[in-house]
Amino acid sequence: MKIDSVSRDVFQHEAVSVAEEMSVALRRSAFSAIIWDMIDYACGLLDVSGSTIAQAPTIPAQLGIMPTAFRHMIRHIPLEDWHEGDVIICNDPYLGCTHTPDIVLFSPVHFEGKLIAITSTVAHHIDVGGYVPGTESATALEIFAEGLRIPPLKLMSKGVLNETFWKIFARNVRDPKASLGDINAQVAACRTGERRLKELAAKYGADGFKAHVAAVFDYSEAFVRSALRGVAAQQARAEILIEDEATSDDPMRLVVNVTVDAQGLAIDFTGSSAQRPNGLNNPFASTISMTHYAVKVVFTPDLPQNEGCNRPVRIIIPEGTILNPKEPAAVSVRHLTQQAVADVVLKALSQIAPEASTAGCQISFPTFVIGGFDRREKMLAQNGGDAPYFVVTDIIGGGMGASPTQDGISAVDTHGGNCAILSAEVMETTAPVRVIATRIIEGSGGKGRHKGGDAIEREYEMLASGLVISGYTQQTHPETAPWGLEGGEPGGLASVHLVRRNGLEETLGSKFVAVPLEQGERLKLHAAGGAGWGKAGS
Amino acid sequence: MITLAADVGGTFTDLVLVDARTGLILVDKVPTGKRGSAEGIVPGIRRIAERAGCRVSDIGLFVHGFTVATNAFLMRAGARAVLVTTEGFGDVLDIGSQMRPKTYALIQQKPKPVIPRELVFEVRERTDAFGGIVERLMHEEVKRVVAGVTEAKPEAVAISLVFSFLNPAHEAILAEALRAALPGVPVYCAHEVNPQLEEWPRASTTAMAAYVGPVVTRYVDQLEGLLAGMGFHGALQLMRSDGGVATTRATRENPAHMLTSGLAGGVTAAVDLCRRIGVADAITLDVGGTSADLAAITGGVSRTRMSRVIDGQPVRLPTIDVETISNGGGSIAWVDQGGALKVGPLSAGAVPGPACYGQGGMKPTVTDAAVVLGWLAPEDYLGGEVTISPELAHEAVMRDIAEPLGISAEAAAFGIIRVANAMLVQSIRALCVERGIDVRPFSLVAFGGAGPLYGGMIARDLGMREVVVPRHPGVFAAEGLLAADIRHMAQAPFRAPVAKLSPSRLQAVLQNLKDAMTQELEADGVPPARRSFRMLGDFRYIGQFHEILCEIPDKLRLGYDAHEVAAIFHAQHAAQYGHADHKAAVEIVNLRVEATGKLDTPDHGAGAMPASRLAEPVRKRKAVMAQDAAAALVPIYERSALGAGQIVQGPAILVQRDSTTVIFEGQVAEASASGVVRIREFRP
Repeated sequence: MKIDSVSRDVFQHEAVSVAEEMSVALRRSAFSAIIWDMIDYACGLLDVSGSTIAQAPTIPAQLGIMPTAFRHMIRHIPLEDWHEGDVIICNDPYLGCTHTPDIVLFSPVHFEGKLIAITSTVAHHIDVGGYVPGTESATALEIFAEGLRIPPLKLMSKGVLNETFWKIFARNVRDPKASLGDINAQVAACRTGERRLKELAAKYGADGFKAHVAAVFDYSEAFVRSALRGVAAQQARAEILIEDEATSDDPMRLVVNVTVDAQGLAIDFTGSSAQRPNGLNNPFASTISMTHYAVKVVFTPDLPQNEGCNRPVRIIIPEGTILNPKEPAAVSVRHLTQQAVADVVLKALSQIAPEASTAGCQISFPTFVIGGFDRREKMLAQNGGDAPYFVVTDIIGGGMGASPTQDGISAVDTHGGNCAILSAEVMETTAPVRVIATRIIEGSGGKGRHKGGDAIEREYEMLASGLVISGYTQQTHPETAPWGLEGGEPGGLASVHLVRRNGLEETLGSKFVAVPLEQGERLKLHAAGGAGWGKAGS
Repeated sequence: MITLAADVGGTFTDLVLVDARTGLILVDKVPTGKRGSAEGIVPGIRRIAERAGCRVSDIGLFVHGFTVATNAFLMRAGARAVLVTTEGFGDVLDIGSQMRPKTYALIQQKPKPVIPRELVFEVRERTDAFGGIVERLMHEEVKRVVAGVTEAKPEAVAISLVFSFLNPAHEAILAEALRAALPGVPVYCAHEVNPQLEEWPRASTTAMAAYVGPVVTRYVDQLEGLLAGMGFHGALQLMRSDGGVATTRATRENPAHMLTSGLAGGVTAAVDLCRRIGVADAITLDVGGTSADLAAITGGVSRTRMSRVIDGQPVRLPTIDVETISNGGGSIAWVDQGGALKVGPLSAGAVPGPACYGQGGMKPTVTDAAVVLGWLAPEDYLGGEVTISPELAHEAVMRDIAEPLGISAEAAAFGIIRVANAMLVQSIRALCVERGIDVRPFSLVAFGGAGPLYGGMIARDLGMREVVVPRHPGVFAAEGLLAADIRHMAQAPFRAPVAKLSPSRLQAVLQNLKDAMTQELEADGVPPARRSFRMLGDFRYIGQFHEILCEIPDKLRLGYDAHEVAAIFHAQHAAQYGHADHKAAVEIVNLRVEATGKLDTPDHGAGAMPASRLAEPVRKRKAVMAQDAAAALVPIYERSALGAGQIVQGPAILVQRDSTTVIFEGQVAEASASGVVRIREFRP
């Protein structure tokens, strides 16, 4: 069937619209702030071979992970057993998922008795059990410390809920109400997608639907190939270091070789460090998703994502490395390494497509969780003498790298996430933690003809004693700093400091776990700045 | 009484004059003229008065919707304003949420705050989360800050201190000192403009008030002067962002409520129209030159939202819930490097305009596509006042679209319409899913110059019940101004669990707000019999951060019942989010009072249609009415000639001075006695 280009373009709007509707449906009925405010979820449509037809543009960290997971699902549950009304669930990083908190759902879409497509949702759940609240821990030794691992199984069978699974799940997570509510929101999104895909199939017919999908893939592939034409270099190599500091002082190395040839873009991570006995390993699917992110922002930022965009891209990730760990490596704090994947690929692409690239960005995003009892006098008075338990978390933005045409932007989260900073007033309302100052530190971005973006420094004062803090950052050493381009200077370093009541300042490492804090003590987080582009004053 | 409404748009200003004594209704369109100046409407007012055979001094009420505040904001051409904030928070506007505007872009820029960092002053003071003073504001510190601010020579001042909504003492001290030092310079305090939790949106809202305040005030002053010069001595009222109107007095006091004045008219008009024709649920589609505005009407009412983000800046003031997308008649069509046809987001705007205007525009626009297809023709376009050239439209579509895609100009033109249409459909779907709406039983109210062009196509794609095309689609937003009532809204922080709050405190806070609003209506000259009040609260589940605005009925305010109040919230939550947790604890975060002063709405619909007459097509012209169809002769009807009850079968085109309505094959249009045209799919 020959599809004219305008019909194809209209169809693509319709397909993206279905994914967006799923996305709105999920967010609308979700329970958790992580979905509401951090948009940490994804919705997409796949064809029956598991190729992405469309994905709503939410969090990059989950870009294009669905096909990887889908191909594992059908090895465990053959497609002929996927019936109308079924929902398949999984969160296993060793079966194509990312880390255990990211729960992946698939549901089949049948039309005129035939399977025509798959809808899929991924959502980050605030907790799936494990040995720390929130499941994520840099010091986890193995995946077994990272909460409930769900193998591919039917959450719903022909519309009927698997009560056994539901009960086991509820018993193993810390906030079952929120988690079950969020899974329901994911199911609602799948159902929205099913309904709308059937409408599309009815409009185009099963064959017409397939032909339009194929035309969209061809178009996207042609777009990427045309973007790859006329690159400045055919080959590039890049490497970066990131801190371990969870179980070793030896930094981890990420290496990438990128080749552009007639077949497209080959991205090879051979040479990257061997996997580590901690939660910093980055599972296969996450390495894939952040590589796709890096390729997309350089070559096709405005193109809707689908299989066609990935066709010209080959990714090689040796097994047993931090970028494709072997079972049972822990992976829960993979976001630090995942940011580094984007960073190292972007560093290589900056040689291939310099006009569309920036110098190194901050990937430090200093993050902490503070928990304990809120023993502020006024809180006790308000609460009838009882000190309420609280947990509060915050993430601090830094600078983006400068480009050949402009300065990097200041005070932002980068790459895989796009998280908001917590309002100082919300923090002090819900926790005995007062934000003393939130400043953009001038000059923390690297100097250059164009300057790197500046970083945020935030200072907190503890208003109660007996608090415990854990957290992490990276880019705290000169060898891990954001890298300059064309003579631009590196971005300023990230740091975490404690100011004791006697005024003494202590530097915490890039990974800190369960540090006790007393009333009056202060915490200072400083993110990394973006790097500069070109020699300053040139 | 003679009432005049004027709604300023980016390209044209629309005018509607209603003479209640004779039932006369006149509409007109004049070029908007210079940005930020009221002068553009003077000739329009003179002309419409002349056509009505009256003097400007005969006009009893003039209602005005304007875009001065929006434009000043978007173009960053507002006042030189300073912000005073707590020490340690001087970067609050620049940091914002720390989210980058585009998730998938490496090279990008953050939208600029309205007050640059060098005009932000930090002051040493601190209030805690319970309203207690942690660090007292010292006299010396006040002096230091006042000296700094004075030296900056501001046109307006915003003060937004941490937790000032819990304890306004320090803001009040600073405001008093600054007002004394800077006579004539308006000073806006956050605890008055937006007394609500979260330092960034509160500072941003207050900064925005200071930024647009002087601009709005100057505009109102100028307008009053111009009107007086024409002999006007009636009442002047201005459209607010929330769909109410304000007197000039209230506007000067709270200019921030005018920020999206220009967006409210269309929705207000649609609500009024739906009421008159008995439609409860509708989507409004207003397609102008550069953008399309979409809104949902459910149960006969539009929705109000308490915050929105405009160009990256949060503004927490009530506005009508309208979504704007850059997809209008002037949107430019282009072919990307992969060979896909795209429409927008760039627009040819008023200058140079679509290629067919012959004013130097070379790029094909949606309007040019409609010209190539024969939907728009020189003899009808804007009553022939703007000349359009089909040759130039053809040329642009051919060069930029048809040739690169290897298709005919007609196929390319139809493609442009289909893509623009697909984008609008996509936006309407997103809008509906977000609000829990199944759009199929809804009516589509299509207006603006270009809305009725493809309203029929959109309703068909969405499976909607019908398209309603108002009598004067091109000036419909101006009609909305005539339907609006005087509105005031005030809020106060009130954080308490619904189950454990003090009813007497709740009553006291609401009473205070109501008293303040009563004074406002009094000052506006609204007699007591015409005043009404709604008590509202921002509710949420404890632990969650998305709030829902719920009405607190009078009987519950007076005889508080925690269970019933929670039930109202649960029901709203279920409607909006698809689920409710009846066991979860609910809290109130803010209280609000909305005050309305009822105005007389001139009835500009009834008796509009000549009864029982059957208009013949005035002519036929060649037009392409379906995908892959050849051009064929299509009957053209003069819209105003249609008789009540007349049915026009598609394909057909209805022309009128301010807009063109396309009826596609398989659709029928019925001209109803109330003056609207309703288009439905023909089902024999």
